[in-house]
Amino acid sequence: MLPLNFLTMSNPPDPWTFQPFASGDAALDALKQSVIQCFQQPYTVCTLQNIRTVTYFRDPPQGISKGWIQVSSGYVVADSFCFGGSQTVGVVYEIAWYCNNQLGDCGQQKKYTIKLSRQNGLPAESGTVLYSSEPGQLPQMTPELVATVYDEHNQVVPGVAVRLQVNAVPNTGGHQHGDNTVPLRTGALSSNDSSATLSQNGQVLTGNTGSTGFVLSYSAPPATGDITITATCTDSHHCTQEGPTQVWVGIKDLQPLGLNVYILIPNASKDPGHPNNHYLAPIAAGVVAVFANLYHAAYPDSSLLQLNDASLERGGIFDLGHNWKPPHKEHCRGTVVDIRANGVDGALDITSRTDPMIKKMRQLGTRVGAIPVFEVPPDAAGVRVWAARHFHTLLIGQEGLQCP
Amino acid sequence: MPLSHHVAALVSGVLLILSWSLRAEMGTGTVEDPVTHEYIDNVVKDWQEGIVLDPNTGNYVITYKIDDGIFASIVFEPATKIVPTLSWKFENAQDDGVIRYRYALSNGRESKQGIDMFRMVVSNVAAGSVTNVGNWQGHAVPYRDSGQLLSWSCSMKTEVCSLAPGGRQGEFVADSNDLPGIVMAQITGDSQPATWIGEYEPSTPVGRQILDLTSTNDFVGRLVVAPRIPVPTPFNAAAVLRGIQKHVDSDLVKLGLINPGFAAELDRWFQAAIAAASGGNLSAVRNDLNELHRLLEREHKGLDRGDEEGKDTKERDRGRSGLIDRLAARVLTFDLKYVEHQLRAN
Repeated sequence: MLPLNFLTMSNPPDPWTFQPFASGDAALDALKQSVIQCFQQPYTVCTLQNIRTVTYFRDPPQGISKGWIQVSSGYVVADSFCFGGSQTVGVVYEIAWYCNNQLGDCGQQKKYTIKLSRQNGLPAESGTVLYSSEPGQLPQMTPELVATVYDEHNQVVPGVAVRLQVNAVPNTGGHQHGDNTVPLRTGALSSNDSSATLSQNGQVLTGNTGSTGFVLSYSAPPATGDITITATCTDSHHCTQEGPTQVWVGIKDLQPLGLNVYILIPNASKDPGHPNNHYLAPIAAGVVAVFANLYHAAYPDSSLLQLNDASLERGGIFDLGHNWKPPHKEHCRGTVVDIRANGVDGALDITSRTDPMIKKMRQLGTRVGAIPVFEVPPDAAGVRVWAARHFHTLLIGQEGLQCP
Repeated sequence: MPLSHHVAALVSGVLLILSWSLRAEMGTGTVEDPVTHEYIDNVVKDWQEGIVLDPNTGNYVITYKIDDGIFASIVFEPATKIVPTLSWKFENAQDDGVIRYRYALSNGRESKQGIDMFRMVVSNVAAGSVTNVGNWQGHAVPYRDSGQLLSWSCSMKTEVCSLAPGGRQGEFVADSNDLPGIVMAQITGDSQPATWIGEYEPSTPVGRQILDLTSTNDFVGRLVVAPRIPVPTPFNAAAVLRGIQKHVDSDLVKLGLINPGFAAELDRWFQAAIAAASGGNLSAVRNDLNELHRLLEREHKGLDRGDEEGKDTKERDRGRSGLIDRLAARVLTFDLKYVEHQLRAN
């Protein structure tokens, strides 16, 4: 705790009026309120004109009594002078601000800013997003970042000790579940700088900006979402972060399936952690629409195809177990959709491995470039769950299958 | 590498893995009996991912990891137990520039499966012109971000049918305004689709091999002439020449039907012809086209005698000069003559 600012008012200005308080707490509240208001403008010299008098100011008022108030930036210590030999009235005549540099803005301290930018010189994608990354993209595939500290004249300040931390923004990327603090959700930082030190599984990185800035990389997690990189100064430079701080992790241009001759099985009730599960790449969405139309033309009296999981709104890991791990291995780029085949609620009903409809579905797929693969998923113990049978349908070729 | 080897590599496609270097891993899973096709759950053993060919049946046993400690072993019957021949013919159907493409399909007597489908990626066919022949239904649907997927498949109301070994089926017809090019038609046998237990990991080396075997390359390929070069209305010589140039530089090179060096030699004259056509210099266009003809005739004599039909079989003699496949040279000659004809007509 550093005594950075000290104001005294040994001689309160006139006119000075006394206004006794009903209790010591009321007086303390009034003082606290006045002080907070005062320090909300850190460059304004505080006066005591609005503090007035207090009663029962903390310590037993024998002559000078002293009290303190904690404010956001430290502690305010005030001395009061009781006169008249009474405990009922007094005046605050001195106030000291002990500013804690770790807690907040100390007002008269020099101000610095820390900014993240792309080392390749390309501008940030927006005011909040530094760049976009596909899920699971390795550091060598992503732009390197630079953390740079500037003074109030926008000049680079060299040799500042900095700390960077990645955090996932909850409920982004289509995931409304799970522990957002684990590395599988947040991704990880790294740096080749000799000053760099990693901790917390790569979520925290410290180093020194040297002469031109601290260079670092970020590895996106397999799950999609918004990732915030928080930068702070850890030495005597008191800095605040400005500029874009986020990395957008996901597959671009996925679109929700619209109305067509298929039925979208809603996911919100059976998996609230992934309420929207029908996102596809535009070409894949076109393929499934044609596929569904051919099916409907061939079987106009049957129920429409029922589409279950495709991809989340930004693709990436579709973690059915809410643990940021697959088993949905190919539902990550908007190129695959599951078509129900378990006979429930009018769904296709495949009754055996030799059911002729399996061939018919494959043949329909060949006409549109899709590959409906009949699948019986296993449970956690590896036992087939016949009731969950479906056509795992590849709508685009191999190029769409690269999952994180 | 000789052109034939390029083609053979593309056509065969299927990879066989008789042994795998991965270590076995203890786990639980489901095994499909290769003979009875019954499933046995809760099998605890050392599992080894991989693909094994059963030489007696021609089927594959595919073992894959689903999740940590969870495995499956299934039987996969490839759709490639066929020896097809795909014949083609194209002709100017009318005077309005429409070209009629005809196909006939034969299934070799040595085939182990009937043929249930053949398809190809084309630039465009005229709406409503794709024929249905008996149980064979023709379709042309948009493909990816350009072109169409033209297919004929044998289908009855409730089940798939097929062209039996030794059989022949013709009269597959589609009309198009677009000029012919060469594509790889995909022909599939009437195999029993596999029932998969869970999903394999497609990004691993084993997963990629499984994907190649069961999806990407599960067909027999045959070269065929098909609509491939768009012809705009009204006719635009530069645009058509660009289309032919692109077909040479991408399709024919990828199919191994032309030596890349020879393609580059042709490309110089294509560029000159396109520039001349864009500038309206018709005599220069004709000169450039003549140079292209000369280069093609240098490799193969008698290209313009008008025999626009042929077929692709397993043993077809592709008449290679070493620089360009004869079929490719014939089709290019037709396309260039079409451009010349249109220039004269206009």
